[in-house]
Amino acid sequence: MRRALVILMVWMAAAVGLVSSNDYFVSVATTMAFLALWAQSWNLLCGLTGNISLGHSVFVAVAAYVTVILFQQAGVSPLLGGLLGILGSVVLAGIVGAATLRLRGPYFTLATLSAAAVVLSVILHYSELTGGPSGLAITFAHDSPFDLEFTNVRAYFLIATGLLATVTLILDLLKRSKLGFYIAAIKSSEEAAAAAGVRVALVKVIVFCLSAALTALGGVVYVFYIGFLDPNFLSGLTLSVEIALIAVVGGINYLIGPIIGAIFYEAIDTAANATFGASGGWDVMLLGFAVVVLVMTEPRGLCELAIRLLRLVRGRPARSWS
Amino acid sequence: MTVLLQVEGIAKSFGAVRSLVDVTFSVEDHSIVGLIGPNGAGKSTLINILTGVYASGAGSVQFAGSSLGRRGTVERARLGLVRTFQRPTPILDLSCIEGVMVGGLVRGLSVGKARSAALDILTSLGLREAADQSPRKLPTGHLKLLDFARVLMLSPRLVLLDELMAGLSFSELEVVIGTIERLADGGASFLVVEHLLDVIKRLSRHLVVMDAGIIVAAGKPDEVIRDPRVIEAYLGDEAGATPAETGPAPVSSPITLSNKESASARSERVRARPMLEVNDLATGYEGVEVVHGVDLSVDEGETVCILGANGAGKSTILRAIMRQLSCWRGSVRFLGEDMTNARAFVPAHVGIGYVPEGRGMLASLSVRENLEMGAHPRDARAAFARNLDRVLGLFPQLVPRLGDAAANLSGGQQQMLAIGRALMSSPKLVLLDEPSLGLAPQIVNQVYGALTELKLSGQAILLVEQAVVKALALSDRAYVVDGGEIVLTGPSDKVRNDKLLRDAYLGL
Repeated sequence: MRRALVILMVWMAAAVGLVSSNDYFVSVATTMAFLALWAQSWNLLCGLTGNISLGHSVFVAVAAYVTVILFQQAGVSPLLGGLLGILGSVVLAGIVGAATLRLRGPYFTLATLSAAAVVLSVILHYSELTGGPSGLAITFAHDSPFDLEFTNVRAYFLIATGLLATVTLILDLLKRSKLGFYIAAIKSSEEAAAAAGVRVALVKVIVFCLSAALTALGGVVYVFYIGFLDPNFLSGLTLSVEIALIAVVGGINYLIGPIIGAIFYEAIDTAANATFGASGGWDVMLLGFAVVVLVMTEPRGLCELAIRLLRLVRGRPARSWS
Repeated sequence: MTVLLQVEGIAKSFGAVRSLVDVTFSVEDHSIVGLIGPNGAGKSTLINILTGVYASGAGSVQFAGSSLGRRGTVERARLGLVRTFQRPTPILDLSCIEGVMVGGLVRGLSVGKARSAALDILTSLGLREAADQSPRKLPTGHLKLLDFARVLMLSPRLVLLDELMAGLSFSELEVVIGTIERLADGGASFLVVEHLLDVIKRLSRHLVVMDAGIIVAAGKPDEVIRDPRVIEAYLGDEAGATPAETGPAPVSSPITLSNKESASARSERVRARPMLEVNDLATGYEGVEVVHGVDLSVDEGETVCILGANGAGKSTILRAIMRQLSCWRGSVRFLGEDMTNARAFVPAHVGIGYVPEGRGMLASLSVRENLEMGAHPRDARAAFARNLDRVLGLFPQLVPRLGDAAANLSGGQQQMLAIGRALMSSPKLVLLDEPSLGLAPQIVNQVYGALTELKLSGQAILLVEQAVVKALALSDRAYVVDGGEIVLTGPSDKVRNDKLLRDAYLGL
């Protein structure tokens, strides 16, 4: 029921985007969809297990670079190259996760930060292949879905919302599966989970790899939508922090949380840029202010805030609608 | 009978403290072995080594014919070697039944099969009604049963029960004992670490006694309990005569001197001022009312106890007085001042000391630092030296441990430190939540000896307790709580002999 509701909302948004004649509106909505998709994938690991990744954009970067380089240099279709790119992200997640997810403390978070930094320096170093710091533009040859090339940008919006709905569905199914039970046990107490026979470290690594794969999936489509590889954006700190922030602001305990968070975040960002111009840094200040106010009012995020307001209006406890 | 668990020469040290010196014993298939010993004997350390939490310093452990070596907790659990926790850590994000299901899923059951198996186990333990609730709402006794349910879901071969039964009500105890006996008939084995000697004697045919990291006696329970070394190390002189005093105990236990003193104390304070006045107090958790309109008072110099079964709302009343829970209705007044909506730090500053259930140690701080933390209110800082003398006079056991981390104290010493920390705030009234929980009989006697001294010094005390006989002997007045309401109140000696109380609420 709730699952159907969430997916219906996502597709309604897609329909609105498709019929809208305003290209600017569609481009904002597309960015929202990608951010929501990444935040949802981030939430799969971080919201569910409590292990915070601050380098999640590295999986976008690895998948994007592998796919684009294969496409440019060898003419491999991004549908196949994308799979290899996702595989690359999963391998990276597996290595980082196996090394640090069994430790307690800030090690995992630090390792994700440094993984992104390492990948960034690799990209910058092999500049013949990657274009180095100036990036790499994708040369589009023809309008073909097999090359993820669409002259109508609404197609990217449609794919992004479709992927978002899919990831949301996966998350919902996961919560009810065996793995979901293990994750909930681990988040409560690793001792309690181990005492119940759960292989704590293994489960965390699996979930991290899954999260990386879904993030990478979004990355492959995103880079063909943008048409350009920007190393500092893709493997930089800003995107990683945005992904985490959006999920937390929306509410990590709710399926719809990252989606609400992405709308909130991108709406403020766009409005600030439209009002004050993109160069003054007003968007960052305004966003920072909004996040501080939100965290002081309701640290558990927008969803929780909405439920509290509903409760006030109705005068009785609202049922949670995760 | 084949040997299921063989422990050979296990040793373990933490820094300079030798927790286990040389432990050798075995558990046979289909058997129930009891393990007793004073707090600090090394029982919990032994369990932690057997379940792979700690690596042992020496010796070996064989389970079901193969060496456990360095296998971790999870591998051992999957081999069928599992434990319960003294302080259960339930899976808070899942409902009770879902938390229990995890063990079944690990064993390869489908979600549906695991659910029905978990429901069967919860039903057999009397937790059916709590199945779909969050464990956050459950009282300690139910959490222990839930932890037991988690273990049973793993189809264990050997269960290590770490004081599972302390704090359970009489009827819950019967359920657990019945379950253990049934499972032992079905092929499981149990190592029962417990302070309730009656239970141990009933369940086990073999009893092991530990003290200071070694096994001092082992054999048939009846013979072992008469061993003079065991009496000296564990039971203490007084308890040796009536070893069952901590649990649901016979009414015939002797009326002690303190009861007569309390009678005279009562006549002295005929005109005493009310100190704490609680009127029509109602409170609860997450929208569920647990305490429904309780009236209660403590006068100056008076010792009052609150009795009742698990989940009756005893601890909840204390937490509302301490402003850890908000009052939904009614009022709390202390020394005439209204505290109903005071902020959480106020009770400590106006002179209420609180010893929470589970002791609330600041584990990484030293014993001395814990005591310093207690002396936070302004008056208390001025009286620091005097209060410290008073605490160390009451609990001389703490003197040599002042520099040690609180986490390294035995359970008994931690309870003493918790009481000491409350006293460091120069409290006018001390609230104690289950001070005897999880303590060996001898240690309970020491703690109650100190409480008697406190009482005689004129300290007002409000006590929540499951050790009914001890609490009634100490206190002047008693309240009996059931289902969040006070069902009986009166002078302790009258309450003790009240038939209604004995039959319905205390299982005496």
